[in-house]
Amino acid sequence: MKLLALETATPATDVVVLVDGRVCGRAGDAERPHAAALLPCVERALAEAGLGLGAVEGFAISIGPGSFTGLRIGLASVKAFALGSPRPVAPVPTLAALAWSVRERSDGLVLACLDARRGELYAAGYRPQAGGLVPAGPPESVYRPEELRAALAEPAFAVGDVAAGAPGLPIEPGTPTAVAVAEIGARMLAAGGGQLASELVPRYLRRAEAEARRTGQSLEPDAGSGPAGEAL
Amino acid sequence: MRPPGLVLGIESSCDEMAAAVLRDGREVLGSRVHGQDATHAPYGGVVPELASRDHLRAVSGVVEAALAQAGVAPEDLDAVAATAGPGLVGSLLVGLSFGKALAFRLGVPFVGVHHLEGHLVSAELADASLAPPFIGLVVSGGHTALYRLEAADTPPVLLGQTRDDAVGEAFDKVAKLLGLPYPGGPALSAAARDGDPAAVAFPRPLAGAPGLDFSYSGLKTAVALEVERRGELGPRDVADVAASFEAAATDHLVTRARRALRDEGMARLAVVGGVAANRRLREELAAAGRRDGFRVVFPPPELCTDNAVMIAAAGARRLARGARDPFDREAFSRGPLGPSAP
Repeated sequence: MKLLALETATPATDVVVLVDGRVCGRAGDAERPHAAALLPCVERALAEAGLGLGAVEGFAISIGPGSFTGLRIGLASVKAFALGSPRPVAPVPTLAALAWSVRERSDGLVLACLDARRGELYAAGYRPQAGGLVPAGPPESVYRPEELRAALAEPAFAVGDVAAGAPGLPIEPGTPTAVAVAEIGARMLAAGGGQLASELVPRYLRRAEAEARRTGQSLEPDAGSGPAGEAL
Repeated sequence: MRPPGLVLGIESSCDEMAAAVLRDGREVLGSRVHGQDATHAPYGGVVPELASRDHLRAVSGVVEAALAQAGVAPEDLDAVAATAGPGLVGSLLVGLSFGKALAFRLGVPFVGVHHLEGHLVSAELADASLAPPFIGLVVSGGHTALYRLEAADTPPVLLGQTRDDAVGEAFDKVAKLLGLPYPGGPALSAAARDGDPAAVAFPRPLAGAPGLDFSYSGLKTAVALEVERRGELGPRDVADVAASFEAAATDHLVTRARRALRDEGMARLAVVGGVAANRRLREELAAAGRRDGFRVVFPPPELCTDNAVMIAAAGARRLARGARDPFDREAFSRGPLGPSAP
């Protein structure tokens, strides 16, 4: 299968073309904003793979949590790529993509952490299994560092933003990559987990600030509930 | 200039997601506008993050509906145009990213469009006999400005603009002060119909000042003080304050528009943007036109408020002038339309 994968949830833009499980094209841009970087990266990655966009059979996108604007730029672009076509999109949890790169280096819990600002972190726990990941430990949510510490019942290998604040254990610096998004996305599509682009929305994990203020609700609509616990 | 063929326009600069398909920049084949009034009503104004989220949910459906109405498949399109600014950057980026990505996929040219060029072009779409040179008055929730339009193939020249609030913004804020529902502009005009426009002698902004700039913050403050002075507002108070504010606000626009026409030696005025639907403004300008001997053109209401027909039309012009934008084109929040604008 020919898959185009986009990662725009964190400051760097990263694009990969995966053909039958092999990375055939990759382009990244850590300098320019997503709006400027994304399409030139897609163009370069496709050119390296020797493919046109029309040959792509499916898409994988880092669906959040992360930069709201970055997520929207990536998803709006995929919606245009897939407009009027049934080509499926795999919405890959950004924290799973972050955990993916270190899954072979840990037998126990992997904790993926990204800076959520306001002294909080986006975090989710996963356990390596059968070459993939299954959700385990702290469910995907927004945490204050002390909440995340309290949610950890066992030692964990933490990976992510060092700046995200200390959950009480050393963090190995890492960012979600388009390679991880592509590899997880390929497994999701093979398992029938693709969705129609037109209906996809990011996993914001947070309400708009004004909405939380007006309704007196917390910023986090899904706090504690976590994602559907599917293996990736 | 080669006709640009089938152009898809996308507009998402504020709280409307819109798409339209035009043939050769004039013939409207399909047009859809998805508004968000219900989303923002509880806040009394547009919440940028909520607007961006709604745009992303709506964009595919709105574009598909416009294409379906036009009987056109994506592959039939010759070019894509999207608003690049000014506006709410988070909102703009949804339509702009979608538009650029669609053009990239189809291998057709892409152009970013200045929102105000769209509004100005809408006057010419509405009245085929209106061709430059003319004066354009842009009045909306985000803009209050006067432009001179020299010729179809040169960009408009800015003559004057608001120093603070836009006129539509002032309407919305005053409506909020009077306890009127959102969106405030139309509610305020409805309330003003039963009021006496001479009940309160609100000061005319920049009275006696030369030039073609506008200002609405002082008038808004004067209304706030009047509301405070009256205390509990009955329906009579609301109607009188609304009518008196509307009279002062439109008077300011009429004064500046007449001065621009006189200074520039022009006899035609196009009034565009959401506030161009205001009845009092239409009546006052028509009366001034009869007195001074100028003609006023107002687009129909569906072309006054934000729409994508005007973006496709303005985009078609840029394409015909040979403009093409690269795929790294970014959105911008502010900046006047002019020679250096897109």
